[in-house]
Amino acid sequence: MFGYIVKRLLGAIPTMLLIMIAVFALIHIAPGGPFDNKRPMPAEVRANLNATYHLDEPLLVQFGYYLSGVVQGDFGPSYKFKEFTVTELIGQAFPVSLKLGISALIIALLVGVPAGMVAALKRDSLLDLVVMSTSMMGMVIPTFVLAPIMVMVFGVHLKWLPVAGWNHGALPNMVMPVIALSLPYVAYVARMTRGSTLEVLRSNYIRTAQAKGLPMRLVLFRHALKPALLPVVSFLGPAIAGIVVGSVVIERIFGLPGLGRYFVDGAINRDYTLVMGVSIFYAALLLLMNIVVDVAYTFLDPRVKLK
Amino acid sequence: MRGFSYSAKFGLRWLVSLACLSCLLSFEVSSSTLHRGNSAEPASLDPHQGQDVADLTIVSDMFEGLVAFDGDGELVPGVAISWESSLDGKQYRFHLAPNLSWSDGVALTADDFVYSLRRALAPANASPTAYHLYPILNAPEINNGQRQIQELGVRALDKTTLLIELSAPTPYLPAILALAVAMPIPRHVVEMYGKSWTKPGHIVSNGAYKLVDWLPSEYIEVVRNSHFRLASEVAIEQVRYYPLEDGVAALNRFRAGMLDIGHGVPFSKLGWMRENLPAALRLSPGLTTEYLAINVTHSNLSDPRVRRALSLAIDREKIVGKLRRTGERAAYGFVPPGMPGYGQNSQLDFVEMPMEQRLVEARRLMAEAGYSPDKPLPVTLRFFAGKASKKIAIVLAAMWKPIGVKTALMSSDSRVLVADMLNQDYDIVLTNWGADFADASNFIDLHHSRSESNFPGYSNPDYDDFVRAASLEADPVRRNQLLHRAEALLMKDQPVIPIFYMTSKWMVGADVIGWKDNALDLHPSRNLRLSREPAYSPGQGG
Repeated sequence: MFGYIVKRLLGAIPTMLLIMIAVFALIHIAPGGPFDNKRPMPAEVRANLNATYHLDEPLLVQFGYYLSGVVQGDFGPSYKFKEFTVTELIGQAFPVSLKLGISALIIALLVGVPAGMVAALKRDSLLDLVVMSTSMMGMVIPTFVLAPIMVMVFGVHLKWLPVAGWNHGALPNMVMPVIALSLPYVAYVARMTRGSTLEVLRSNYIRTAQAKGLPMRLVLFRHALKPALLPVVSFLGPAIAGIVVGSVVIERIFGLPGLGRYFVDGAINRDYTLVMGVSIFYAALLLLMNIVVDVAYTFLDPRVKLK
Repeated sequence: MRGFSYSAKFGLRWLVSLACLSCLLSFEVSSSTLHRGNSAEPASLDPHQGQDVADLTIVSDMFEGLVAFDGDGELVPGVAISWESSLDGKQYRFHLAPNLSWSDGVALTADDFVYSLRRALAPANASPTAYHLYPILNAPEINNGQRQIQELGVRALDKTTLLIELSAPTPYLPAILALAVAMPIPRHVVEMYGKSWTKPGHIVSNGAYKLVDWLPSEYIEVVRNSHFRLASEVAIEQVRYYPLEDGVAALNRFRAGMLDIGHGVPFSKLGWMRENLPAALRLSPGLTTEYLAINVTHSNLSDPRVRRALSLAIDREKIVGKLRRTGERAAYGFVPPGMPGYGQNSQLDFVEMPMEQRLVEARRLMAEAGYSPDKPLPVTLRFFAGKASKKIAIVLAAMWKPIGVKTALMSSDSRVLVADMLNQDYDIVLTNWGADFADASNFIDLHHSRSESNFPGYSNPDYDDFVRAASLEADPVRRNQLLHRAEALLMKDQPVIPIFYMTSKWMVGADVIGWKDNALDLHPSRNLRLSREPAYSPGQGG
């Protein structure tokens, strides 16, 4: 197992390199540079700025500078937020997004898995219909519609919850963003759990277990639960990586200092280092979570052997 | 059914308990803290590095230059209590107030200004706004590395006297010295911490407030600086600035009482604001002109008749009256009204002409140039992505159609459009220019043939002569005349078509006292007060 993980981690290095090259190329292809403002600056001022950030050198040399920095754990200074390094910005924003993301995923699992299983067990009942249609709604109503409505109702009119702000992650400030963030995931997890549970319940070993006279409760928890969760686990890997790097929509609406905004602001501002930094961070997280999922499979499915 | 009602009851109980919880944790609005919405996360708190309003709002609360702006947007003495200029207008002597100090108690003298102005121009410091200081003797050569920083025309004659030499008379020098790039920087702190000198715990400042907290994308907090020259006159103890790019989110915070001042009002909510929060809505004329830049190097648009026709066909009154409805005024000149010392701007010659007659004239000019509704002139009108600009662009296209213009609309991301404007890879662009400092030259100089902001690619030797003569003229009246003649030429040649003068838009809470609308749109926190009673001060009896 240890050998397997090391092998996978080493295998991730060329992938990361490719991703870095791709992002570097894309952001430099985008027209306009970090210092192209509505207020153009004289040539000498621009030259000073370009020299400061090595932008006056060939692209390949710039990439070399960047790569040697990254190897030493230095993601460079942000071009837009001049007093912060990219590492500092990510370091300050990631805990916020992590806390929000993990809370939302826990809710997604706590609500989604039981709802999906109940729907599968009571298949074609009214309950099934309610769960499935609710989850369909959760999937199709976009966050940018739902979140502002929540703010209007619970924040502005009822005044139960703060309309915005992080406030060091206080519970009242977390409630609305976490719910808004988790809803699509709740829906997705519920639908996936229902589908896989139905499939598992039809399989031979479940029929055998039932034929042996095991009570339904035991059949469900001892034999059906683990295999039914396999697709959910595969989904969770990339989902965790995706949700903990933040959502620009949620962050804008609730005024949260998370990581998601840097993906968008970085690109809009042509903040080359910031875009590179958050992309590499996300890519690394994604690769890591995929390895974790593969390892988790060995615990859930006895047929899977890691080589 | 029973189960359902149980869960409903449970849900209700949960909501009620949540409501009580939130009552207990009710959003504390501290009586002595001003909550200000800022347009964005500042790029820097180093006065020499910031460029945008978001930076300036905070920096000008924390630092004070030789000259400063007050809450009326008027230039007032800052660190320098008085100054005088030589007869030729090329030397200024500034007298600093005695016994000044930084927020850590270290003395602040004329030497600090020598250090700061040199630092602002040092190539290694790469200040994006260094060019504002170019009127100072040798400044451009220092900034491009041809001269040593010691050669800058700034000298400390003694601890409280600063001599600034200029390469040409610059009557608006005081206005420039009030800009962030001319603010003093604490040498002792910069030398100790290097690039991270602006971090909380490191930074010291000389203005009304000093930094205590900086949480990127969340808020920046400053408290009153007891070492400030006029500390006893600063009423508000503490200020928090929230970076709120999203106007609707800012409005929500304002409505929930979490914000005293909101910067900007979302265009889509103006109508709602006018009906529901009229007292909080502050619209005031600013020093910004919304205009069309025409690429005169473009073959179709190099014909002045076409540009004049495009300008004639725009019903500016309709745009401000029916579309914008924010108290803006139709623009027939380039320099916005209210520019100090400039008087009435030089206007387009058809101001008084009725709209029908203008359209006739526009059609005639287009026909002369070889275009008609059957054989229209194809142009692409580009604008910065956003609803407000898009609406204007659509209206313009409709106004141009009858005179024989086929307009394609193209919305672009800001960096893309700016890059295209700099490369003159566009036909017509809807843009605006706001004053960096309160002098007409800030608008007129744009279209000098060698200006980097000359997006239209306009080149007229007469115009260049006027601009140059004005920059060398020490007599304010003659200088003003030269600037007016330049503007008149600009309005005749029409490389730019002014549309309207923008208003600034704010939400200001009822607790804020001392807010004054002003053309420069500057509202230092130290000129404001809060009317809220102190929340927990039972002994003081109000």
